[in-house]
Amino acid sequence: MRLDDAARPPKARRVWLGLASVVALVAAYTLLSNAYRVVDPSLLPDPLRGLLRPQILPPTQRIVDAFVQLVGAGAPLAGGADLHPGDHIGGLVEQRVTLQGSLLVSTYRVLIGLAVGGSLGILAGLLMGWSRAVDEYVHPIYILFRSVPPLALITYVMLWLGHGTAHLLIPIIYAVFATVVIPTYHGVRDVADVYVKAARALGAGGRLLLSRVMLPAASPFVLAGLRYALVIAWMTTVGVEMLMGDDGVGYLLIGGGLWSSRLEVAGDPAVIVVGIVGLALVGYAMDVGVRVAGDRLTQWVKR
Amino acid sequence: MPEPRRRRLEMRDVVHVYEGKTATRALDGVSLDVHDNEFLAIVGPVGSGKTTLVRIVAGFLRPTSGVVLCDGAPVTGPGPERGYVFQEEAIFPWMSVRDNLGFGLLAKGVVASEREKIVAELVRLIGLEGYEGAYPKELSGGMSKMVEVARVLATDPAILLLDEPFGLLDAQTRSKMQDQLSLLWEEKRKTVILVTHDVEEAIYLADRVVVFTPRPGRIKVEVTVDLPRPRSLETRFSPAFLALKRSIWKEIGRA
Repeated sequence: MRLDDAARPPKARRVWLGLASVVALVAAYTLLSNAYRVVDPSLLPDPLRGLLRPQILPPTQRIVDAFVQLVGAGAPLAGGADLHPGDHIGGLVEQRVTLQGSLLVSTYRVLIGLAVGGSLGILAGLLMGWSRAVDEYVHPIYILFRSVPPLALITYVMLWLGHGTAHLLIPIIYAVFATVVIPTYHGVRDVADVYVKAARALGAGGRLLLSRVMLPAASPFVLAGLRYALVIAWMTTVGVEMLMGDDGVGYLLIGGGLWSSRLEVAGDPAVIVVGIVGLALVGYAMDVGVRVAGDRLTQWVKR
Repeated sequence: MPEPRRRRLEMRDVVHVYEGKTATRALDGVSLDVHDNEFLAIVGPVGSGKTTLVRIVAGFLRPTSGVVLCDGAPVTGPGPERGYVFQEEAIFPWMSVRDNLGFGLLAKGVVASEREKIVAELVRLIGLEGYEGAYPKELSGGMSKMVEVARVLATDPAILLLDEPFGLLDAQTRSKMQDQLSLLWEEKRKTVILVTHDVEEAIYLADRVVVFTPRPGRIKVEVTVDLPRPRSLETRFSPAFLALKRSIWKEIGRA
Protein backbone atom coordinates (compact mmCIF):
# COMPACT_ATOMS: atom_id res chain seq x y z
CA MET A 1 0.00 0.00 0.00
CA ARG A 2 1.45 3.31 -0.99
CA LEU A 3 0.35 6.75 -0.06
CA ASP A 4 -0.41 7.70 -3.64
CA ASP A 5 -2.53 4.60 -4.36
CA ALA A 6 -5.72 6.59 -4.36
CA ALA A 7 -4.28 9.04 -6.87
CA ARG A 8 -3.42 6.29 -9.34
CA PRO A 9 -5.32 6.42 -12.64
CA PRO A 10 -7.19 3.26 -13.66
CA LYS A 11 -5.26 0.69 -15.69
CA ALA A 12 -6.81 1.38 -19.08
CA ARG A 13 -5.94 5.04 -18.80
CA ARG A 14 -2.39 4.21 -17.70
CA VAL A 15 -1.84 2.07 -20.80
CA TRP A 16 -3.33 4.75 -23.02
CA LEU A 17 -1.13 7.44 -21.45
CA GLY A 18 1.94 5.26 -21.85
CA LEU A 19 1.20 4.65 -25.52
CA ALA A 20 0.48 8.32 -26.11
CA SER A 21 3.85 9.30 -24.73
CA VAL A 22 5.64 6.84 -27.04
CA VAL A 23 3.68 8.10 -30.06
CA ALA A 24 4.46 11.70 -29.11
CA LEU A 25 8.16 10.85 -28.82
CA VAL A 26 8.23 9.20 -32.26
CA ALA A 27 6.33 12.10 -33.83
CA ALA A 28 8.63 14.69 -32.29
CA TYR A 29 11.66 12.74 -33.43
CA THR A 30 10.30 12.45 -36.97
CA LEU A 31 9.73 16.19 -37.16
CA LEU A 32 13.13 17.00 -35.72
CA SER A 33 15.05 14.51 -37.83
CA ASN A 34 13.44 15.81 -41.03
CA ALA A 35 14.04 19.44 -40.18
CA TYR A 36 17.21 19.52 -42.30
CA ARG A 37 15.07 19.22 -45.42
CA VAL A 38 13.37 22.52 -44.60
CA VAL A 39 16.12 24.52 -42.93
CA ASP A 40 19.77 24.48 -43.82
CA PRO A 41 21.39 23.25 -40.57
CA SER A 42 24.55 25.30 -41.19
CA LEU A 43 22.49 28.44 -40.65
CA LEU A 44 21.46 27.35 -37.18
CA PRO A 45 23.26 28.23 -33.93
CA ASP A 46 25.92 25.87 -32.77
CA PRO A 47 24.49 22.96 -30.77
CA LEU A 48 21.59 22.63 -33.20
CA ARG A 49 23.81 22.89 -36.25
CA GLY A 50 25.72 19.82 -35.11
CA LEU A 51 22.66 17.87 -34.05
CA LEU A 52 20.16 18.42 -36.83
CA ARG A 53 22.19 16.64 -39.47
CA PRO A 54 20.95 13.30 -40.85
CA GLN A 55 24.38 11.86 -39.97
CA ILE A 56 23.52 12.38 -36.31
CA LEU A 57 19.71 12.26 -36.27
CA PRO A 58 18.80 9.81 -39.01
CA PRO A 59 15.28 10.49 -40.30
CA THR A 60 12.64 8.04 -39.08
CA GLN A 61 12.17 6.51 -42.51
CA ARG A 62 15.92 5.74 -42.67
CA ILE A 63 15.64 3.98 -39.34
CA VAL A 64 12.68 1.95 -40.57
CA ASP A 65 14.70 1.05 -43.68
CA ALA A 66 17.63 -0.05 -41.60
CA PHE A 67 15.32 -2.02 -39.36
CA VAL A 68 13.81 -3.86 -42.33
CA GLN A 69 17.30 -4.56 -43.68
CA LEU A 70 18.59 -5.81 -40.37
CA VAL A 71 15.60 -8.01 -39.67
CA GLY A 72 15.25 -9.38 -43.19
CA ALA A 73 19.01 -9.59 -43.83
CA GLY A 74 19.23 -8.01 -47.22
CA ALA A 75 15.64 -7.41 -48.30
CA PRO A 76 15.64 -4.85 -51.12
CA LEU A 77 15.59 -1.26 -49.93
CA ALA A 78 12.34 0.60 -50.23
CA GLY A 79 13.93 3.48 -52.09
CA GLY A 80 15.82 1.12 -54.42
CA ALA A 81 19.19 2.32 -53.07
CA ASP A 82 22.20 0.01 -53.28
CA LEU A 83 24.01 -1.66 -50.45
CA HIS A 84 27.78 -1.49 -50.28
CA PRO A 85 29.77 -4.11 -48.40
CA GLY A 86 31.94 -1.28 -47.12
CA ASP A 87 28.92 0.39 -45.47
CA HIS A 88 28.01 -0.31 -41.90
CA ILE A 89 24.73 -1.85 -42.93
CA GLY A 90 26.04 -3.43 -46.12
CA GLY A 91 28.79 -5.18 -44.21
CA LEU A 92 26.34 -6.54 -41.67
CA VAL A 93 23.93 -7.75 -44.34
CA GLU A 94 26.78 -9.43 -46.20
CA GLN A 95 27.75 -11.27 -43.02
CA ARG A 96 24.10 -12.24 -42.55
CA VAL A 97 23.97 -10.39 -39.24
CA THR A 98 20.36 -9.77 -38.23
CA LEU A 99 18.96 -7.65 -35.44
CA GLN A 100 17.02 -10.51 -33.88
CA GLY A 101 20.02 -12.85 -34.15
CA SER A 102 22.29 -10.29 -32.48
CA LEU A 103 19.80 -9.64 -29.70
CA LEU A 104 19.41 -13.37 -29.17
CA VAL A 105 23.16 -13.94 -28.83
CA SER A 106 23.51 -11.02 -26.42
CA THR A 107 20.45 -12.10 -24.40
CA TYR A 108 21.95 -15.56 -24.13
CA ARG A 109 25.19 -14.07 -22.79
CA VAL A 110 23.28 -11.95 -20.28
CA LEU A 111 21.28 -14.98 -19.13
CA ILE A 112 24.41 -17.09 -18.65
CA GLY A 113 25.96 -14.22 -16.74
CA LEU A 114 22.89 -13.95 -14.50
CA ALA A 115 22.63 -17.70 -13.94
CA VAL A 116 26.29 -18.41 -13.20
CA GLY A 117 27.34 -15.08 -11.70
CA GLY A 118 24.05 -14.74 -9.85
CA SER A 119 24.26 -18.11 -8.11
CA LEU A 120 27.94 -17.65 -7.24
CA GLY A 121 27.26 -14.14 -5.95
CA ILE A 122 24.28 -15.22 -3.83
CA LEU A 123 26.33 -18.06 -2.38
CA ALA A 124 29.26 -15.76 -1.57
CA GLY A 125 26.95 -13.14 -0.06
CA LEU A 126 25.20 -15.78 2.03
CA LEU A 127 28.46 -17.15 3.40
CA MET A 128 29.87 -13.69 4.10
CA GLY A 129 26.71 -12.55 5.82
CA TRP A 130 26.42 -15.80 7.74
CA SER A 131 29.92 -16.30 9.06
CA ARG A 132 31.94 -13.56 10.64
CA ALA A 133 35.14 -15.50 9.97
CA VAL A 134 34.41 -15.81 6.24
CA ASP A 135 33.41 -12.15 6.15
CA GLU A 136 36.60 -10.92 7.76
CA TYR A 137 38.74 -13.14 5.58
CA VAL A 138 37.05 -12.57 2.23
CA HIS A 139 35.66 -9.04 2.42
CA PRO A 140 38.87 -7.08 1.71
CA ILE A 141 39.72 -9.29 -1.27
CA TYR A 142 36.19 -8.91 -2.56
CA ILE A 143 36.33 -5.11 -2.31
CA LEU A 144 39.68 -5.05 -4.11
CA PHE A 145 38.35 -7.19 -6.95
CA ARG A 146 35.05 -5.39 -7.17
CA SER A 147 36.91 -2.16 -7.77
CA VAL A 148 38.15 -3.53 -11.11
CA PRO A 149 35.69 -2.58 -13.87
CA PRO A 150 34.61 -5.81 -15.61
CA LEU A 151 35.68 -4.53 -19.02
CA ALA A 152 39.20 -4.08 -17.73
CA LEU A 153 39.34 -7.83 -17.42
CA ILE A 154 38.58 -8.64 -21.03
CA THR A 155 41.98 -8.02 -22.60
CA TYR A 156 43.66 -9.93 -19.81
CA VAL A 157 41.24 -12.83 -20.21
CA MET A 158 41.99 -12.91 -23.94
CA LEU A 159 45.74 -12.87 -23.30
CA TRP A 160 45.37 -15.64 -20.84
CA LEU A 161 42.80 -17.93 -22.46
CA GLY A 162 43.09 -16.93 -26.09
CA HIS A 163 40.52 -15.31 -28.33
CA GLY A 164 37.36 -17.40 -27.93
CA THR A 165 33.74 -16.39 -27.93
CA ALA A 166 33.10 -18.31 -24.69
CA HIS A 167 35.70 -16.18 -22.96
CA LEU A 168 33.51 -13.12 -23.44
CA LEU A 169 31.31 -14.61 -20.76
CA ILE A 170 33.95 -14.24 -18.05
CA PRO A 171 33.66 -10.46 -17.54
CA ILE A 172 29.86 -10.72 -17.67
CA ILE A 173 29.72 -13.45 -15.05
CA TYR A 174 32.18 -11.50 -12.94
CA ALA A 175 30.14 -8.30 -13.23
CA VAL A 176 26.93 -10.01 -12.13
CA PHE A 177 28.73 -11.80 -9.32
CA ALA A 178 30.21 -8.58 -7.95
CA THR A 179 26.82 -6.82 -8.13
CA VAL A 180 24.83 -9.50 -6.33
CA VAL A 181 27.20 -10.15 -3.42
CA ILE A 182 26.57 -6.96 -1.45
CA PRO A 183 22.76 -6.90 -1.38
CA THR A 184 22.71 -10.57 -0.42
CA TYR A 185 25.32 -9.96 2.24
CA HIS A 186 23.35 -7.14 3.84
CA GLY A 187 20.10 -9.02 3.47
CA VAL A 188 21.49 -11.97 5.40
CA ARG A 189 23.48 -10.02 7.95
CA ASP A 190 20.60 -7.73 8.83
CA VAL A 191 17.89 -10.40 9.02
CA ALA A 192 15.87 -9.47 12.07
CA ASP A 193 17.53 -11.12 15.01
CA VAL A 194 14.19 -12.33 16.30
CA TYR A 195 13.73 -14.74 13.34
CA VAL A 196 17.13 -16.31 13.87
CA LYS A 197 16.52 -16.63 17.60
CA ALA A 198 13.08 -18.10 17.03
CA ALA A 199 14.44 -20.63 14.53
CA ARG A 200 17.23 -21.65 16.89
CA ALA A 201 14.84 -22.03 19.79
CA LEU A 202 12.75 -24.32 17.56
CA GLY A 203 15.80 -26.48 17.10
CA ALA A 204 16.93 -25.35 13.64
CA GLY A 205 20.58 -24.91 12.80
CA GLY A 206 22.99 -25.11 9.89
CA ARG A 207 21.48 -25.83 6.50
CA LEU A 208 17.84 -25.55 7.56
CA LEU A 209 18.46 -22.17 9.16
CA LEU A 210 20.31 -20.96 6.08
CA SER A 211 17.88 -22.23 3.46
CA ARG A 212 14.53 -21.77 5.19
CA VAL A 213 15.16 -18.69 7.31
CA MET A 214 18.17 -16.61 6.22
CA LEU A 215 17.72 -16.94 2.45
CA PRO A 216 13.97 -16.26 2.33
CA ALA A 217 14.33 -13.39 4.78
CA ALA A 218 17.05 -11.91 2.55
CA SER A 219 15.22 -12.63 -0.71
CA PRO A 220 13.74 -9.14 -1.23
CA PHE A 221 17.28 -7.75 -1.06
CA VAL A 222 18.64 -10.47 -3.34
CA LEU A 223 15.95 -9.75 -5.92
CA ALA A 224 16.68 -6.03 -5.86
CA GLY A 225 20.33 -6.95 -6.43
CA LEU A 226 19.43 -9.20 -9.37
CA ARG A 227 17.37 -6.46 -10.98
CA TYR A 228 20.32 -4.16 -10.80
CA ALA A 229 22.64 -6.94 -11.98
CA LEU A 230 20.53 -7.27 -15.10
CA VAL A 231 21.45 -3.72 -16.10
CA ILE A 232 25.12 -4.32 -15.30
CA ALA A 233 25.08 -7.56 -17.29
CA TRP A 234 23.76 -5.77 -20.39
CA MET A 235 26.34 -2.99 -20.06
CA THR A 236 29.14 -5.50 -19.81
CA THR A 237 27.83 -7.71 -22.60
CA VAL A 238 27.58 -4.91 -25.13
CA GLY A 239 30.99 -3.67 -24.02
CA VAL A 240 32.81 -6.97 -24.46
CA GLU A 241 31.08 -7.54 -27.78
CA MET A 242 32.28 -4.17 -29.03
CA LEU A 243 35.80 -4.88 -27.87
CA MET A 244 36.31 -8.53 -28.69
CA GLY A 245 33.11 -9.99 -30.10
CA ASP A 246 32.30 -11.25 -33.54
CA ASP A 247 28.57 -11.34 -32.92
CA GLY A 248 25.93 -9.85 -30.64
CA VAL A 249 24.44 -6.36 -30.41
CA GLY A 250 27.76 -4.77 -29.50
CA TYR A 251 29.17 -6.12 -32.76
CA LEU A 252 26.14 -4.88 -34.70
CA LEU A 253 26.50 -1.39 -33.24
CA ILE A 254 30.07 -0.90 -34.39
CA GLY A 255 29.61 -2.73 -37.70
CA GLY A 256 32.01 -5.55 -37.25
CA GLY A 257 35.63 -5.94 -36.44
CA LEU A 258 37.39 -4.86 -33.32
CA TRP A 259 36.92 -1.43 -31.83
CA SER A 260 40.41 -0.58 -33.06
CA SER A 261 39.52 -1.32 -36.69
CA ARG A 262 36.29 0.58 -36.42
CA LEU A 263 37.64 3.47 -38.42
CA GLU A 264 37.44 1.33 -41.54
CA VAL A 265 33.65 1.36 -41.27
CA ALA A 266 31.84 4.65 -40.87
CA GLY A 267 29.13 4.09 -38.29
CA ASP A 268 25.62 4.33 -39.71
CA PRO A 269 23.42 6.31 -37.30
CA ALA A 270 20.29 4.42 -38.41
CA VAL A 271 21.87 1.06 -37.49
CA ILE A 272 23.00 2.44 -34.16
CA VAL A 273 19.50 3.76 -33.36
CA VAL A 274 17.94 0.42 -34.36
CA GLY A 275 20.42 -1.41 -32.11
CA ILE A 276 19.79 0.94 -29.20
CA VAL A 277 16.03 0.65 -29.50
CA GLY A 278 16.36 -3.13 -29.69
CA LEU A 279 18.48 -3.12 -26.52
CA ALA A 280 15.99 -0.91 -24.74
CA LEU A 281 13.03 -3.15 -25.61
CA VAL A 282 14.76 -6.41 -24.64
CA GLY A 283 16.09 -4.82 -21.44
CA TYR A 284 12.60 -3.66 -20.57
CA ALA A 285 11.10 -7.08 -21.20
CA MET A 286 13.73 -8.80 -19.08
CA ASP A 287 13.22 -6.35 -16.24
CA VAL A 288 9.50 -7.10 -16.31
CA GLY A 289 10.39 -10.80 -16.18
CA VAL A 290 12.62 -10.39 -13.14
CA ARG A 291 10.05 -8.16 -11.43
CA VAL A 292 7.12 -10.48 -12.01
CA ALA A 293 9.11 -13.54 -10.92
CA GLY A 294 10.37 -11.61 -7.91
CA ASP A 295 6.91 -10.46 -6.87
CA ARG A 296 5.70 -14.04 -7.02
CA LEU A 297 8.60 -15.20 -4.88
CA THR A 298 8.04 -12.50 -2.27
CA GLN A 299 4.26 -12.31 -2.22
CA TRP A 300 4.51 -12.73 1.54
CA VAL A 301 5.97 -9.23 1.93
CA LYS A 302 3.53 -6.63 3.25
CA ARG A 303 3.12 -4.08 0.48
CA MET B 1 -2.82 -27.56 46.96
CA PRO B 2 -0.03 -28.93 44.81
CA GLU B 3 1.63 -31.92 46.39
CA PRO B 4 5.45 -31.95 46.25
CA ARG B 5 6.19 -32.22 42.57
CA ARG B 6 9.20 -32.83 40.38
CA ARG B 7 11.37 -29.79 39.83
CA ARG B 8 11.53 -28.96 36.15
CA LEU B 9 13.69 -25.90 36.40
CA GLU B 10 16.12 -24.64 39.01
CA MET B 11 17.65 -21.17 39.06
CA ARG B 12 20.39 -20.59 41.61
CA ASP B 13 21.70 -17.09 42.42
CA VAL B 14 21.33 -15.88 38.85
CA VAL B 15 23.08 -12.55 38.31
CA HIS B 16 23.19 -10.73 35.02
CA VAL B 17 25.11 -7.59 34.21
CA TYR B 18 24.77 -5.98 30.78
CA GLU B 19 28.21 -4.71 29.80
CA GLY B 20 28.36 -1.42 28.00
CA LYS B 21 29.45 2.16 28.52
CA THR B 22 27.69 1.92 31.85
CA ALA B 23 27.31 -1.61 33.14
CA THR B 24 23.71 -2.33 34.09
CA ARG B 25 22.94 -4.87 36.77
CA ALA B 26 19.68 -6.38 35.53
CA LEU B 27 19.41 -9.38 37.84
CA ASP B 28 20.75 -9.45 41.35
CA GLY B 29 20.79 -13.02 42.61
CA VAL B 30 17.53 -14.68 41.67
CA SER B 31 16.80 -18.19 42.93
CA LEU B 32 13.60 -19.82 41.78
CA ASP B 33 12.27 -23.32 41.21
CA VAL B 34 9.57 -24.17 38.74
CA HIS B 35 7.73 -27.45 39.11
CA ASP B 36 6.48 -29.82 36.51
CA ASN B 37 3.21 -28.62 34.94
CA GLU B 38 3.26 -25.43 36.93
CA PHE B 39 2.11 -22.15 35.40
CA LEU B 40 4.36 -19.47 36.85
CA ALA B 41 3.96 -15.78 36.14
CA ILE B 42 6.62 -13.15 36.73
CA VAL B 43 5.42 -9.58 37.10
CA GLY B 44 7.41 -6.46 37.71
CA PRO B 45 8.00 -2.97 36.35
CA VAL B 46 9.87 -2.30 33.12
CA GLY B 47 13.58 -2.85 33.71
CA SER B 48 13.15 -5.33 36.54
CA GLY B 49 15.06 -7.99 34.64
CA LYS B 50 12.14 -10.37 34.12
CA THR B 51 12.76 -10.64 30.38
CA THR B 52 16.47 -11.08 31.06
CA LEU B 53 15.67 -14.02 33.31
CA VAL B 54 13.56 -15.90 30.74
CA ARG B 55 16.14 -15.16 28.05
CA ILE B 56 18.71 -16.82 30.26
CA VAL B 57 16.40 -19.79 30.77
CA ALA B 58 15.87 -19.93 27.00
CA GLY B 59 19.63 -19.96 26.48
CA PHE B 60 19.81 -16.71 24.47
CA LEU B 61 21.86 -15.09 27.25
CA ARG B 62 24.53 -16.43 29.57
CA PRO B 63 24.18 -15.38 33.20
CA THR B 64 27.10 -13.39 34.59
CA SER B 65 27.04 -15.78 37.51
CA GLY B 66 24.75 -18.45 38.88
CA VAL B 67 23.28 -21.50 37.19
CA VAL B 68 20.08 -22.58 35.51
CA LEU B 69 19.28 -26.29 35.45
CA CYS B 70 16.60 -27.75 33.23
CA ASP B 71 15.72 -31.29 34.31
CA GLY B 72 18.99 -31.33 36.17
CA ALA B 73 21.18 -30.38 33.22
CA PRO B 74 22.75 -26.91 32.92
CA VAL B 75 21.35 -24.69 30.16
CA THR B 76 24.04 -23.79 27.63
CA GLY B 77 22.05 -22.56 24.63
CA PRO B 78 18.62 -22.48 23.01
CA GLY B 79 16.87 -25.79 22.51
CA PRO B 80 13.49 -27.12 21.43
CA GLU B 81 12.76 -28.49 24.92
CA ARG B 82 12.37 -24.86 26.01
CA GLY B 83 9.88 -23.20 23.67
CA TYR B 84 10.02 -19.40 23.57
CA VAL B 85 7.35 -16.95 22.48
CA PHE B 86 8.65 -13.44 21.83
CA GLN B 87 7.04 -10.14 22.58
CA GLU B 88 7.67 -8.96 19.01
CA GLU B 89 6.28 -10.79 15.99
CA ALA B 90 8.49 -13.77 15.32
CA ILE B 91 6.45 -15.96 13.02
CA PHE B 92 8.16 -16.21 9.66
CA PRO B 93 6.33 -13.92 7.24
CA TRP B 94 7.62 -15.94 4.24
CA MET B 95 5.96 -19.16 5.42
CA SER B 96 2.30 -20.10 5.40
CA VAL B 97 0.60 -20.82 8.72
CA ARG B 98 1.06 -24.51 7.98
CA ASP B 99 4.80 -24.22 7.36
CA ASN B 100 5.29 -22.01 10.39
CA LEU B 101 3.56 -24.55 12.61
CA GLY B 102 5.55 -27.40 11.11
CA PHE B 103 8.96 -25.72 11.24
CA GLY B 104 10.04 -27.04 14.63
CA LEU B 105 8.96 -30.54 13.61
CA LEU B 106 10.92 -30.21 10.37
CA ALA B 107 13.99 -29.21 12.37
CA LYS B 108 13.44 -32.23 14.57
CA GLY B 109 13.31 -34.49 11.51
CA VAL B 110 9.67 -35.56 11.90
CA VAL B 111 8.35 -37.19 8.71
CA ALA B 112 5.90 -35.26 6.55
CA SER B 113 2.83 -37.39 7.25
CA GLU B 114 3.32 -37.13 11.02
CA ARG B 115 4.00 -33.40 10.68
CA GLU B 116 0.73 -32.90 8.85
CA LYS B 117 -1.18 -34.67 11.59
CA ILE B 118 0.30 -32.57 14.38
CA VAL B 119 -0.14 -29.34 12.44
CA ALA B 120 -3.78 -30.13 11.68
CA GLU B 121 -4.39 -30.76 15.39
CA LEU B 122 -2.75 -27.46 16.34
CA VAL B 123 -4.75 -25.56 13.72
CA ARG B 124 -7.91 -26.97 15.25
CA LEU B 125 -6.74 -26.12 18.75
CA ILE B 126 -6.24 -22.45 17.94
CA GLY B 127 -9.33 -22.29 15.75
CA LEU B 128 -7.60 -21.33 12.50
CA GLU B 129 -9.18 -23.94 10.23
CA GLY B 130 -9.18 -22.59 6.68
CA TYR B 131 -6.15 -20.40 7.25
CA GLU B 132 -3.53 -23.15 6.84
CA GLY B 133 -2.25 -21.76 3.55
CA ALA B 134 -2.41 -18.08 4.55
CA TYR B 135 0.66 -15.92 4.98
CA PRO B 136 1.08 -14.08 8.30
CA LYS B 137 0.33 -10.75 6.62
CA GLU B 138 -3.23 -11.99 6.13
CA LEU B 139 -3.70 -12.67 9.85
CA SER B 140 -4.68 -10.30 12.63
CA GLY B 141 -2.23 -9.58 15.44
CA GLY B 142 -4.05 -11.93 17.80
CA MET B 143 -4.20 -14.75 15.25
CA SER B 144 -0.52 -14.58 14.45
CA LYS B 145 0.34 -14.53 18.16
CA MET B 146 -1.65 -17.71 18.62
CA VAL B 147 0.16 -19.29 15.65
CA GLU B 148 3.40 -18.42 17.39
CA VAL B 149 2.32 -20.08 20.62
CA ALA B 150 1.11 -23.14 18.71
CA ARG B 151 4.34 -23.29 16.68
CA VAL B 152 6.28 -23.59 19.91
CA LEU B 153 3.88 -26.22 21.26
CA ALA B 154 4.24 -28.35 18.12
CA THR B 155 7.51 -29.90 19.24
CA ASP B 156 6.04 -30.66 22.65
CA PRO B 157 8.58 -28.72 24.72
CA ALA B 158 9.04 -29.46 28.40
CA ILE B 159 8.84 -25.76 29.23
CA LEU B 160 7.03 -22.90 27.58
CA LEU B 161 8.56 -19.44 28.03
CA LEU B 162 6.22 -16.55 27.22
CA ASP B 163 7.84 -13.12 27.18
CA GLU B 164 5.00 -10.60 27.33
CA PRO B 165 3.38 -12.46 24.46
CA PHE B 166 0.27 -10.27 24.36
CA GLY B 167 1.99 -7.01 25.21
CA LEU B 168 1.44 -5.53 21.76
CA LEU B 169 -2.24 -6.42 21.48
CA ASP B 170 -5.23 -4.27 22.38
CA ALA B 171 -7.07 -4.98 25.65
CA GLN B 172 -9.99 -6.87 24.08
CA THR B 173 -7.85 -9.12 21.93
CA ARG B 174 -5.53 -9.67 24.85
CA SER B 175 -8.30 -10.97 27.10
CA LYS B 176 -9.46 -13.27 24.30
CA MET B 177 -5.92 -14.56 23.90
CA GLN B 178 -5.70 -15.14 27.65
CA ASP B 179 -8.81 -17.29 27.50
CA GLN B 180 -7.40 -19.25 24.58
CA LEU B 181 -4.07 -19.71 26.32
CA SER B 182 -5.86 -20.83 29.46
CA LEU B 183 -7.81 -23.46 27.51
CA LEU B 184 -4.67 -24.52 25.71
CA TRP B 185 -2.91 -24.96 29.01
CA GLU B 186 -5.78 -26.98 30.51
CA GLU B 187 -5.45 -29.30 27.54
CA LYS B 188 -1.67 -29.57 27.36
CA ARG B 189 -0.61 -29.05 31.00
CA LYS B 190 2.86 -27.70 30.34
CA THR B 191 5.37 -26.04 32.58
CA VAL B 192 5.00 -22.36 31.72
CA ILE B 193 6.83 -19.21 32.69
CA LEU B 194 4.90 -16.11 31.68
CA VAL B 195 6.55 -12.71 31.88
CA THR B 196 4.10 -9.84 32.00
CA HIS B 197 3.56 -6.40 33.46
CA ASP B 198 -0.16 -7.05 33.57
CA VAL B 199 -1.02 -8.19 37.11
CA GLU B 200 -4.52 -9.29 36.16
CA GLU B 201 -3.16 -11.43 33.32
CA ALA B 202 -0.69 -13.03 35.72
CA ILE B 203 -3.35 -13.95 38.30
CA TYR B 204 -5.84 -15.10 35.70
CA LEU B 205 -3.42 -17.55 34.12
CA ALA B 206 -0.93 -18.63 36.76
CA ASP B 207 -0.67 -21.04 39.67
CA ARG B 208 1.95 -18.84 41.27
CA VAL B 209 2.92 -15.21 40.75
CA VAL B 210 6.44 -13.94 41.45
CA VAL B 211 6.83 -10.18 41.88
CA PHE B 212 10.16 -8.60 40.92
CA THR B 213 11.69 -5.45 42.35
CA PRO B 214 12.74 -2.57 40.10
CA ARG B 215 16.33 -2.73 38.79
CA PRO B 216 18.36 -4.59 39.81
CA GLY B 217 15.77 -7.38 39.67
CA ARG B 218 15.23 -9.48 42.74
CA ILE B 219 12.28 -11.53 43.93
CA LYS B 220 10.15 -9.36 46.15
CA VAL B 221 7.35 -11.74 46.95
CA GLU B 222 5.73 -14.95 45.78
CA VAL B 223 1.97 -15.35 45.74
CA THR B 224 0.19 -18.67 45.28
CA VAL B 225 -2.96 -18.41 43.19
CA ASP B 226 -5.37 -21.12 44.26
CA LEU B 227 -8.32 -20.05 42.18
CA PRO B 228 -10.30 -22.98 40.77
CA ARG B 229 -9.88 -23.98 37.15
CA PRO B 230 -11.15 -23.70 34.50
CA ARG B 231 -11.19 -19.95 34.97
CA SER B 232 -13.62 -17.67 33.20
CA LEU B 233 -14.87 -14.14 33.08
CA GLU B 234 -16.52 -14.78 36.48
CA THR B 235 -13.11 -15.58 37.93
CA ARG B 236 -11.93 -12.08 37.08
CA PHE B 237 -14.62 -10.57 39.31
CA SER B 238 -14.56 -13.08 42.16
CA PRO B 239 -13.62 -11.73 45.60
CA ALA B 240 -10.64 -14.11 45.81
CA PHE B 241 -9.29 -12.75 42.49
CA LEU B 242 -9.71 -9.15 43.56
CA ALA B 243 -8.09 -9.83 46.93
CA LEU B 244 -5.06 -11.31 45.18
CA LYS B 245 -4.92 -8.36 42.85
CA ARG B 246 -5.05 -5.94 45.74
CA SER B 247 -2.28 -7.68 47.67
CA ILE B 248 0.02 -7.88 44.63
CA TRP B 249 -0.52 -4.22 43.82
CA LYS B 250 0.31 -3.40 47.43
CA GLU B 251 3.58 -5.30 47.11
CA ILE B 252 4.47 -3.50 43.90
CA GLY B 253 3.63 -0.14 45.43
CA ARG B 254 5.74 -0.69 48.51
CA ALA B 255 9.22 0.66 47.86
